[in-house]
Amino acid sequence: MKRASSSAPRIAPSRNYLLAALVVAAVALLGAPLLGQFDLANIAMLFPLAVLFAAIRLGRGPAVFAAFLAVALFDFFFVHPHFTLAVSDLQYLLTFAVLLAVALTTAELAARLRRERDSAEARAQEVAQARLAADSERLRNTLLASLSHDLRTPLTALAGLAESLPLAGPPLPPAQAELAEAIRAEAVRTHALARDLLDLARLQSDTPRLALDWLAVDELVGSALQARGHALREHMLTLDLPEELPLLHADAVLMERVVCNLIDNAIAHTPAGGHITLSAQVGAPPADAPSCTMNPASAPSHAASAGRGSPSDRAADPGPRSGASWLRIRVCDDGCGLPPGREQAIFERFVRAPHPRGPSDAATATGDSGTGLGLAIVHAIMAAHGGSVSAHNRAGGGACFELQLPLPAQPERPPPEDEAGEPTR
Amino acid sequence: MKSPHARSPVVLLVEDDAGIRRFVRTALESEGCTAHEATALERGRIELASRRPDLLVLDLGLPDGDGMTLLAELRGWSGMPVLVLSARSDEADKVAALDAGADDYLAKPFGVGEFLARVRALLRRALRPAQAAARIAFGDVELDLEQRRVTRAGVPVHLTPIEFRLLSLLAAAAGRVVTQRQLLAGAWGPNHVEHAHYLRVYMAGLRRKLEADPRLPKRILTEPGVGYRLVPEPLSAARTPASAPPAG
Repeated sequence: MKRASSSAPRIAPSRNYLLAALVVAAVALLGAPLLGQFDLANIAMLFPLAVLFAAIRLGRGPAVFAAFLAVALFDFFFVHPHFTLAVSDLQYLLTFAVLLAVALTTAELAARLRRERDSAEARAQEVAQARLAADSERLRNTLLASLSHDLRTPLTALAGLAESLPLAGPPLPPAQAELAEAIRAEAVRTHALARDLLDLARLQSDTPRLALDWLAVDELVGSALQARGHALREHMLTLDLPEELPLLHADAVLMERVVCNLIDNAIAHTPAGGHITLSAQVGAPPADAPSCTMNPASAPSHAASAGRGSPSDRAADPGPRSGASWLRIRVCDDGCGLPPGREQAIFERFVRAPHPRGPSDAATATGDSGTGLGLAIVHAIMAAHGGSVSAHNRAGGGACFELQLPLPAQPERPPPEDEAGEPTR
Repeated sequence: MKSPHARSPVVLLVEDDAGIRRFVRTALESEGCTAHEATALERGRIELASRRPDLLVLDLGLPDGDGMTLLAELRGWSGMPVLVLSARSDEADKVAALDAGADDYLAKPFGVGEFLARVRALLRRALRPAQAAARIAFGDVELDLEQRRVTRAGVPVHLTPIEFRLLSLLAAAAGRVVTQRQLLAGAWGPNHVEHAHYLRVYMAGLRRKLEADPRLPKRILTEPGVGYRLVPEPLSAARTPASAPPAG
């Protein structure tokens, strides 16, 4: 970042030229009484001082101006015949030339020093600013980490104490057991909200930290389904994962979070007995993908293009090893669908689509009535990975969420096992 | 806990938060364990030496230092099972604790059911070390370490040497999570600990051979960002808790 001030001296304001002229004039005035007592050559030596001053304080332009003015004034006032620019003795021309050369060299050297000083200052300032930015980022992360830590411990105690209430003595009467369970559920829900807010703040920092690792899509989906198995038991689940999908290079914990959040969202908006489909395929980059920095605002176009029935009817394969391919993971349901026109708004914080009927039973089953941040977190995580998420309604009813992630060049396969009878697949 | 031994298992809990100590003690006592408490590292060190517990439950963030210090010291003289509790959310901390010798890890907030399931698994191993036997069964899969043979529902399953090594590592820790680094070092050697993608390929192979539905694994579970866990008994018994709060 170049500061404006470092280039300012090159186009010095007229005030600087005026000042330079005044300084030279002052030297001329100072020299006037000395005329007759001092050698003319010695008086001439006063003028480079004025030029030096101008070069240091006012910049190169005024200094050059001062150099020429000094020669002119010296000629006009001091060299015989006085008060004319005429020169009686040609040897004064040599004086003028030396005077001018000394003055110009001084001006140039001083101006260069000044430029170097300015750029050194600018560099120092840049370094200071970078350090300040790093410090505040570090402070922000430390603050988030300690806030998260300080909330976790008491909420763990609260939930655990409520949960262990029935263990501490004779079995609780049903009404009290229900209260204890309500306390536990509230503590868990409060933790989920605090965690989501802190995670969102962390993800939206300038440089969210990602623990990148090679991930298998089926493992990712499998562990998300494992985590949500309990909540999913009242829904029909269809998995459509081709074998031998390429590996992702992503943060395992965050990506599992993305899939879990989409499953939670599908459960919350699909009545019991409803159908949830999870599918993945490799495809060409999204139409608007070239600039890898996706945001949800870019999504409507593929929401429109993808608004078709079954996800599996998309032919998938420009080759899993092609660098330009993208992975798409879809979570579709046959629930109440998205409010028309709100397909993008749902990725904003604290926006919730209305529940299908009455309070969400699915969300209660997971001990969480939804913080309203789930989809915002999905969006933030996808953006941090250079991917995107979009949503649309299905023609036959229900909603579809599609994740798009760029696929990296695949890593080397493990070396074949020579001592084994058969190669590993 | 219905221990096969006459005496009740002794558990030492090193944790500075009074609320957590209170409910963990209640939970442990409901299982028939004897619980001793320490609120800081220094006291924990003394209790550990004098009580010689069957299990150490260790919080990482203690007022007078990091629980990891105590873990490192303990591993110098004892292999007793250690369950680490931590309020840190970073998976890297889990991995660091496990690689430093912790046997299992619970991130706060955790539920009583989840806590007790881990305690049971660790005590089972501590109190019946002879059971670290040549034959390990999980579901319909039987693993014979001596004969280097695996059967599924009585039918032999062919595993490659590396697949067998990975399965043995997981089975030796049955119920506990094994980190990626531990698996990679154990199966391919210490020079390959960064090659996480090897594991993706081989775990897929193992699941295809050993799981009823490899897409919905019930035995070889992935712990995202940490490693893998072999679940020896049906999951309903391990009781995945409602307390792992779902993502909002």
